[in-house]
Amino acid sequence: MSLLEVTDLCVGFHMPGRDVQVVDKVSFTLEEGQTLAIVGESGSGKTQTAFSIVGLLADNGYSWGSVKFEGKELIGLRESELNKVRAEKIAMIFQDPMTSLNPYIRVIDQLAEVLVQHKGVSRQQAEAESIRMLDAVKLPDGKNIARRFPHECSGGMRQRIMIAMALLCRPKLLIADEPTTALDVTVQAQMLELFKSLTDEFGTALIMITHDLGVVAGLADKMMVMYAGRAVEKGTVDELFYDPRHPYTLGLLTSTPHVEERSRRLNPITGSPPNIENLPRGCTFHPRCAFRFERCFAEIPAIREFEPGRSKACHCEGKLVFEENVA
Amino acid sequence: MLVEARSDVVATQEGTEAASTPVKGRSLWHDAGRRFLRNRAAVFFVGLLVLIVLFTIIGPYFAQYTIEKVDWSILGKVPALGGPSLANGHFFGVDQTGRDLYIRVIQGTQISLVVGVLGSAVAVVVGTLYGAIAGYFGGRLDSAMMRFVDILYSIPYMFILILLLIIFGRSFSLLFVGIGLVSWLGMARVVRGQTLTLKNREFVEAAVATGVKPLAIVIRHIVPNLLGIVVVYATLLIPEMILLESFISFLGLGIQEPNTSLGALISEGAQTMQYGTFWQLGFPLAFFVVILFAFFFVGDGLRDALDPKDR
Amino acid sequence: MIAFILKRLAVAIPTLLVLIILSFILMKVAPGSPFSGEKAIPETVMKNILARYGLDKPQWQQLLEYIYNIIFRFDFGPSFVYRDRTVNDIIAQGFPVTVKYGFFAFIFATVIGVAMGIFAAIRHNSWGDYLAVGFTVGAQVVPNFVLAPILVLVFTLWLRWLPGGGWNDGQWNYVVLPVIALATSYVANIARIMRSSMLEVLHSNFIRTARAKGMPGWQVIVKHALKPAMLPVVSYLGPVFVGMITGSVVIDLFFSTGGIGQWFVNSALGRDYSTILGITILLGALTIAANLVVDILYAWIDPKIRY
Repeated sequence: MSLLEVTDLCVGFHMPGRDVQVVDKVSFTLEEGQTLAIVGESGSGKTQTAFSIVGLLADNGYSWGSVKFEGKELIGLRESELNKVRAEKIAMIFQDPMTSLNPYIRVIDQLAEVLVQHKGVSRQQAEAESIRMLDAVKLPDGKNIARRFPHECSGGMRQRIMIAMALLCRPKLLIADEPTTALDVTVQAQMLELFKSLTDEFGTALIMITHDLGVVAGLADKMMVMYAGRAVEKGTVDELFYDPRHPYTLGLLTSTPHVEERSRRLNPITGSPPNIENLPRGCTFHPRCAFRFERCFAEIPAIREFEPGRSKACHCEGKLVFEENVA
Repeated sequence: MLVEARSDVVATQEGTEAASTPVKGRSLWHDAGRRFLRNRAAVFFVGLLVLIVLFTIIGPYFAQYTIEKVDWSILGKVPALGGPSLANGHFFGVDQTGRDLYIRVIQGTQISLVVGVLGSAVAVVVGTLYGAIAGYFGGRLDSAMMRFVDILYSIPYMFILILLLIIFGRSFSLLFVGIGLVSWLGMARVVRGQTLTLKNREFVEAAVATGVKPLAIVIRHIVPNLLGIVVVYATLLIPEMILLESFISFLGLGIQEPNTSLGALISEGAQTMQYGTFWQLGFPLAFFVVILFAFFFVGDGLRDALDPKDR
Repeated sequence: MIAFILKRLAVAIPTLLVLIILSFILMKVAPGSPFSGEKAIPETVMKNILARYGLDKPQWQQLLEYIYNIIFRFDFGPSFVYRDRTVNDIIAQGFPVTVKYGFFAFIFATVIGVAMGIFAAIRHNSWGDYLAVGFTVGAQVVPNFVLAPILVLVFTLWLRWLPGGGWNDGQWNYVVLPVIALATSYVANIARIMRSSMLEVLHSNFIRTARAKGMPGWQVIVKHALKPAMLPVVSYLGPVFVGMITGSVVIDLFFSTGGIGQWFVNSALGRDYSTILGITILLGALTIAANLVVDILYAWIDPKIRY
């Protein structure tokens, strides 16, 4: 039994006068201690996929399909039941550390209440454990920082506090939604280092949501690429990096600068992501695809396993070779 | 703070729209107009306001009486005979002293609207200039000017206004100038906040760099860009002005007999309600409530239209 | 914190002085002396009267003495109309009445308004929410001088539950209608402010964090959302206070409660300048004090304000 089994997960939102589906039949599995990266442009549905796992969609959002965690179905669970899973079993870290901490409550109180809530420990024990965790995320002088209000801490400090808060109950799974995007580049590297060492140390499985392939390379075991609400390619990080089989994955890779390959030209993906309310017919990627052919205009490619452990949603067969001289 | 955040949202929204539809440039005002027209409640109440204004213009031609004419045949038997009637020409009935309520309601509506609009206009002119100057020049002048506003804010201005009316005698012009002058404070604060963000925009810097005089920058570049927020605020100020006037009228310090305002009519009607003459409260109150609702909803609609945050 | 309070006091005290001087000057420039209405008074008698009220001294000296008496002896001087009473007597008679129903109205408006706002925000887009919004919109456009007679009509004339006026030493049934008439529009305004700020807070990132921490719904509201959502309400409490003081004029007149508002209007119409001046300054001082308290309360709640 896998730690997390997501099958045909869909997410929709009630909008005034219409319903919009932003995630369409996404499936993946995650084993204990593994790290999965979900990669995609903004608006590709990767964040909503993650939020729906623990039922954190906005009020007008709803999800269907199946999310099994340790064999237990989470979709349709009552809020009070979900609260026993959140933080205790599945913890989350959000994109913007500046606004994700409550500005009106001292850091220590925000941390300690998690332990009081889930572990039923006393206030003193909770505070002591919280300070230990602040030290564990390499915050200098955790005791001092614990007494501060969030606005008295820098962005990097706040994200470390968020990480400490997420790990307090030693969850089985950590979901991090673009945890480094809002941070300085120098801080980003430290933060990734921290993620790696802490998930190793606690044996926590990690879902890392990002649009930054640099983050994926250093951290993840598996990778799922999303485009316009659908998963378009899944596999191990090595497979996808060195042998991408979906044109979009290839596009992402060739549009990312590499330090080693200074000479190579960047190939940005042309065009812009489609409007989720007005998707193109056929394969949603076809207007931007260099490999499209007739079938792509008419037929939505289903995601299929083309090699053991590897799947993609594309009508193309075999390896992709970019013909650079075409342009 | 709030205002600053809003303007940012407007800016980014403009930016993305421009990016996604590069062919057709649309102005903020054009967009706002489109959004406003989509707001059914606001459009409905604009229509209602227009109807009310038209009624106050055309209505008098159908009146059978003047505002001061006492109908002696009804006087003394008002609860029994004074009700609304098409037969005797008192469409809205008569008041406690036998005067025709139809024409009096029309006049009251006119006066209330005029007080609301003029009072709001005074507040807008004073508040906008004051706030724009404080915000644009900043520094010590700003803190002195805003401190002055703070001080005025914590004075129970209503009592000062009552004092003014008692001391200098009741007069229509003093009434709306007084109401306007005590209501510009909020406007000044809002405008100052907005100006602070505007003054660091490129077009202002460009004007400074080309040597435009400071006061000219305020009037030609800052104030026009404040228009959106000023329009919204002014619209929401009108019902407040009307309420203020009605309060003054209740105290008997408002408009002088035989002239009347909705506030005066309502206060008379409220006092005679217990004799069963409900029309004396009902008609002026209906106009009053509809006008206030209308301005609230139109103001809300304008705010939503000019601030695309909640779209 | 203490420095912050001192700083605020440094604004409040000059404000009070400005208020006193401003009202004093207004009184002085007012046409007609308070005694001019009476029959021709022999010059010597007039002189005596003026001397008795200290009106024969130079204006600036009158002002200084007036300020001195208020600040150090809490003495607003004699009434110009009621010869046997001082302004202090009048205040002592009317003020406790106003304070009593004003206090209840303030508490009523805050508690009910906040509760209604939270309820509407939690049940966003439900029937309860629509009902609350309908009430807040409706109550905004019905002035208290309309509400008061309607209340009397219903509860006194039709249902015969409550007395429609008088004070009776503040017996509870005499207090109910004044409190409701005074508080209703503020219940509505506070509920509206609370609802929209609560909705905004509930959509903020840190509330999502609190939910992600598995906190039960009521704890998310009480521990995480209430404080920030209360801030706009707290800053509105100053205007509520001012509005209630102003509104008490209407309530006093309509219900004949004998409160300070009634004395204000009567002395204004009777040109009892010293009483008007005294009441204006007293209420002004209260307003200034209330704003000071609100400022301090706000700073205390919001850690981002550095004193």
